[in-house]
Amino acid sequence: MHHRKISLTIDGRRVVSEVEPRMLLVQALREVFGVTGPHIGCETGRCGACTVLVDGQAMKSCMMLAVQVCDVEITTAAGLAQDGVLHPLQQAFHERHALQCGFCTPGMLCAAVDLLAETPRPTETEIRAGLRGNLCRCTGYQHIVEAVAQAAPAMALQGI
Amino acid sequence: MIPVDFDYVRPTDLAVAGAILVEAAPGAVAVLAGGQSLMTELKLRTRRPQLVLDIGGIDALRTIEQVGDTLRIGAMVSQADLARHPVVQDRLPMLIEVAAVAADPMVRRRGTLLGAICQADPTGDWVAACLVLDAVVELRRGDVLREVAMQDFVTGARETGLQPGEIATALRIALPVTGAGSAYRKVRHTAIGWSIAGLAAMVEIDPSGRCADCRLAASGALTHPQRLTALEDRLRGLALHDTPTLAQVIGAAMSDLVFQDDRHASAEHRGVRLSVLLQRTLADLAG
Amino acid sequence: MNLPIKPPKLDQAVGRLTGQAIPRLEDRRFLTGRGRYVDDIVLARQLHAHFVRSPHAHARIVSLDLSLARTAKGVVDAFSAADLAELGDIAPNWVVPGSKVKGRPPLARAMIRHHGEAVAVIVAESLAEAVDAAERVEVVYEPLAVLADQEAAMAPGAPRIHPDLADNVATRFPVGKGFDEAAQGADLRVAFKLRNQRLVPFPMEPRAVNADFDDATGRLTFYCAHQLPHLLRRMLAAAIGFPEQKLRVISPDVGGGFGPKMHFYPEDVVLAVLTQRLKRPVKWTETRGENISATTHGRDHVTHIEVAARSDGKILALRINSLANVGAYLSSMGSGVPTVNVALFVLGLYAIGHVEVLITNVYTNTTPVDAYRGAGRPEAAYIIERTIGRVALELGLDAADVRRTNFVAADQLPYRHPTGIGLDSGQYEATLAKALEQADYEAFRAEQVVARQEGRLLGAGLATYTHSCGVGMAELMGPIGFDRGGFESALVRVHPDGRVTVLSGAHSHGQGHATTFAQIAADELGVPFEHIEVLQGDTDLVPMGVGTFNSRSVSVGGSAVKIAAARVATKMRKLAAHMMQADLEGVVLEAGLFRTTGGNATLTIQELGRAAWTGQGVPRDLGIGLEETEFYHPHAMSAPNGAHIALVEVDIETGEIALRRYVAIEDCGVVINPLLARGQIQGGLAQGIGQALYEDAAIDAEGMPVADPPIPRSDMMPWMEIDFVCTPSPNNPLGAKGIGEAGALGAPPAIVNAALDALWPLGVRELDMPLTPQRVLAAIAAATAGRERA
Repeated sequence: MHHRKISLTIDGRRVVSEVEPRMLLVQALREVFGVTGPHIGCETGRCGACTVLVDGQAMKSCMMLAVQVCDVEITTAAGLAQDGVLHPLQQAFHERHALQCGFCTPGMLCAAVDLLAETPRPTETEIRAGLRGNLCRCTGYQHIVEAVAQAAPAMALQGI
Repeated sequence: MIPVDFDYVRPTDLAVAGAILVEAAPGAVAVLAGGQSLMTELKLRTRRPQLVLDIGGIDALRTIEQVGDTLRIGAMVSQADLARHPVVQDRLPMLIEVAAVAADPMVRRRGTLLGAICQADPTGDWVAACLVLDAVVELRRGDVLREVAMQDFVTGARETGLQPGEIATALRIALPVTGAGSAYRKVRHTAIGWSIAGLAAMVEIDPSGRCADCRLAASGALTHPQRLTALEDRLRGLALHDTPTLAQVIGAAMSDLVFQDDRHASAEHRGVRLSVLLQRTLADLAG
Repeated sequence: MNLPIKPPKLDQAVGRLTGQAIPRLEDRRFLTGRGRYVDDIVLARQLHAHFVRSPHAHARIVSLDLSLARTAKGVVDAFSAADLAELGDIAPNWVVPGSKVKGRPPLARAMIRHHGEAVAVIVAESLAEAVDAAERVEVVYEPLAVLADQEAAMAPGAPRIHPDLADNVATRFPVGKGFDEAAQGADLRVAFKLRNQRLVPFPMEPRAVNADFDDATGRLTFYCAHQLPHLLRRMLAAAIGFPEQKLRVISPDVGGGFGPKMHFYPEDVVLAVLTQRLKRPVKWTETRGENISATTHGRDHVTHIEVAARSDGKILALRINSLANVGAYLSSMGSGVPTVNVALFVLGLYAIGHVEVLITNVYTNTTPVDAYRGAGRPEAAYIIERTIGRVALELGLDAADVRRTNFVAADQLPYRHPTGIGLDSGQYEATLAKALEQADYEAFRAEQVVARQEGRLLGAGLATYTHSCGVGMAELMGPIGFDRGGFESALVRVHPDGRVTVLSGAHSHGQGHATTFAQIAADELGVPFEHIEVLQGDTDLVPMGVGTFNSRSVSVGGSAVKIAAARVATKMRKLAAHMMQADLEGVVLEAGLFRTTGGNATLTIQELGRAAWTGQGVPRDLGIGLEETEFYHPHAMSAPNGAHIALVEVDIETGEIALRRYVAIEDCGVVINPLLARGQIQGGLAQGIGQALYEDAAIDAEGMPVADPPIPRSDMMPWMEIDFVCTPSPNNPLGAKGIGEAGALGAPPAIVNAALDALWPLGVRELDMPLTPQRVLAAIAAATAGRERA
């Protein structure tokens, strides 16, 4: 019923499909376009596991309808690496053991990308405040904070 | 997790959106702005519209402009964009303080100021700030425009003066011209980040150190965000450094208020927290 | 309970990789959004299931009509209990002898006994259609009075949750006696009550299943986010009457477990039957709301404590009477976790001569309670550490001194508690001393004195803890009614190309076994670490195992890997010696090349592998291949332990508790990977701090849990200061103890003790978790009022 055409770019790949208006963006990403990095951890928009970058800004893809995005550029964790080289944040997460089960990680990375774009040299307090929309149950956040702090100078250097 | 089936429209013209709303039966159309309230309601099926009207395509609603000594904020301006605006940073620091503690960064990327006002959640941080700033809501029904002062617009928990067929199009805030100090402080409920007590305050101190004028609004502690006008009256002329008198005046004012009581915090606790917020914030603003 | 404690020959040599803080081999897929969780899996001809659940916590089902739902768009069929009459209740896996077992029904029949209990399931071509169709289910409930609290459920004349039982008792577990005698002449006798509140475990990934029956082969593939794939296979096969060898359980990447994903649920059974009936794969992923109501909760004890002590702080005797709320039905380990696991460990690290314990499991109209990070041992640690803290405050003694007075002495180890559990190794005084030093304890106490004069409330709280890890021994598990093995499996295979596969019956849900086990195998085999791939979670692939819980994966699973790899390594060297015509002692393997000391012959691992796997040039007595399987059955468990210190400041006006510092010193024996070990400690601490300050399932009078559990966020955690003491365990070849649960044991008592230490001068004696500002202010007000009356 009422299917709508949508077209957008996901992780550098241009895609087109038709979806029901009620389909959430996170469902479209996962079920229609096969991008399963963004995860569903709640239905009240509280957990942040679905966070993606929409035109560079971190947003919860469960709190948007797929039909709302037209000709936007969505970046998920799958799109952060360039030519097989991990993004500085991904590299820092790896070195600092900032992930355990990995379920919150794609969303956490996208939130961290936006955080560092807004605040290139964040303090510990700013990092924690900036990631408060992303729940993690495994790590206790400490290694995540270290990883973001570690990646910040590298990203500033690279101008990303 | 899955909304009911609905149709969807995203006009680029405000008049078209207005016409749709005017024609609509009660509850049939849901207006989608930032979606940070509506999307949850759709997913939990507490709202079951036949049509979702997305106003995100209406460029006229995305403007934020200074007109004389007023800042006019369109309905689609996100809380994040609001907080970055140079005029807001320069002249409305209270809104920056709200942005620092309201929800989380992703919510603020999409959530709109006017959406938060129209949602009128009991814990509404933005509502409290706008009450203190004496904001004015611009409403439109078809071609008919009207304005409502914030104090009159928010009438209860999740209750506003928005009439059937109306859409809120902008918020106007008079930019403070005096050297009034302002603050937004919040006691967060541990789980969600909503306030169990929040305080928006603007205070002007006269040369003798007394309160020349003040505006106070509470969020989270009462049934809905409200100006504390009785307390404002009692504080005018008071030396805010006089801690015992200040405490007494605040204590007396608390007993006239009706506090929210729920599983997150008792009425008594909310009263205590609001009282302490008032004492500490006013002391800070007094310098 | 008699434990055989026979230490094996411990290999003390630390290999090249053991002990190194190596980042994980498996990270790439998680970092790039390519993890494979059950909800990511969509199969051909996929059907989707949606459960219809009761909004009432206690109700009679008056009528249930699925006919309208069955005709909804996209619906293939809908089922109620009547349509699945062949299925019995889910049998728990751990049944403490004497328990009155009421297992969970696959779908509710006539009665609803907890909020969220499923009454029907809809299967449709899409999830949206199944959810839409659920609104057309016509169900009429007659709501009944809700009994949510265990004390109320034990009151005389309380309504019975299960009318055919005499009362609401599921298990009565008494251990020990003689408190009154032992307490005679004590200088101090204190009685107090505490609550270990119910928690929602809240892994980020909710439960998920995709059940796929292939009619042509008669095989059922059951994708499930689960911690114990092999046990799930056995329980599921038995429950649905299915041949076990045709049932394949695949648990791919799991987004957090913490206990709830160990258990066997009604949905598992229902979905396994539906896929057979419909002959198409049926997929179900829990919503968070379902996770909160229908997935098991943790903790929920109300405990009365009596302690008798000497004036120097030496505890003479302890009496514990605890009511454990197990929920509406007994879940998998629901009878044993609150009883055996609490009673055995309630003496902590202390040499206390007399303990009397009575724990009663109580049925209520709430979600079933089962193992959650620590599984009874946090409840035990909370009891003993709150008691020690109380004794110190009552006697005006330093909390560290009282612990030292009571510690099991170093020369008493290995030690057997009166409750039967063993402490294998540790340096309790040194561990505590390290924590005190790290926390600048003496300076803090001095600051506390000055602060009190200024009207500021500082507090220091200590907690030591221990628990048994590395389940376990069959000799022990049988008599306590625990129907599972305590071994772990490992298969180590060197391929013809010299690369290595390790199969493990343990199953990582974040712990990083693919790295830890590769480190262990690499050290044994002499093969590059990056050439080792660890596979888990597929019952067709992995030899029969037990799974990951109880902080056992390294000590049991890792030991299995070590032993299997050592056997392969021995064979490799023997074959290499033969092929190089050299003496065995002179053969070394370095960087993929065998060479001999005192000789020029070399042999690549590929040449060796090819020979081994063709048999060409291999003496018959060496056999074919380079592959060994070990089912490692521990002869004893180990007792990791630690000392935690929380330093707090309480705001007397608001009741807010600022956690200024948190120090945790852990003795988990030999640490295979300190980076990963820190991660486990931090995660456990976050959950323990969460329990102390924020979390509560908060079941209300209508039996409804809180809609948004207060899970700690990044800006709610302190900086955790962590360090280690290492006393190798004598009880396994690695010398390892467990580490995964430690944080959850230490933080709650440390923080509550700190708050009480701060508030004691105001007359506050009792405080329950979570220490919300409201609770703290109420305690201060009550104490102040009490003093004013006096």
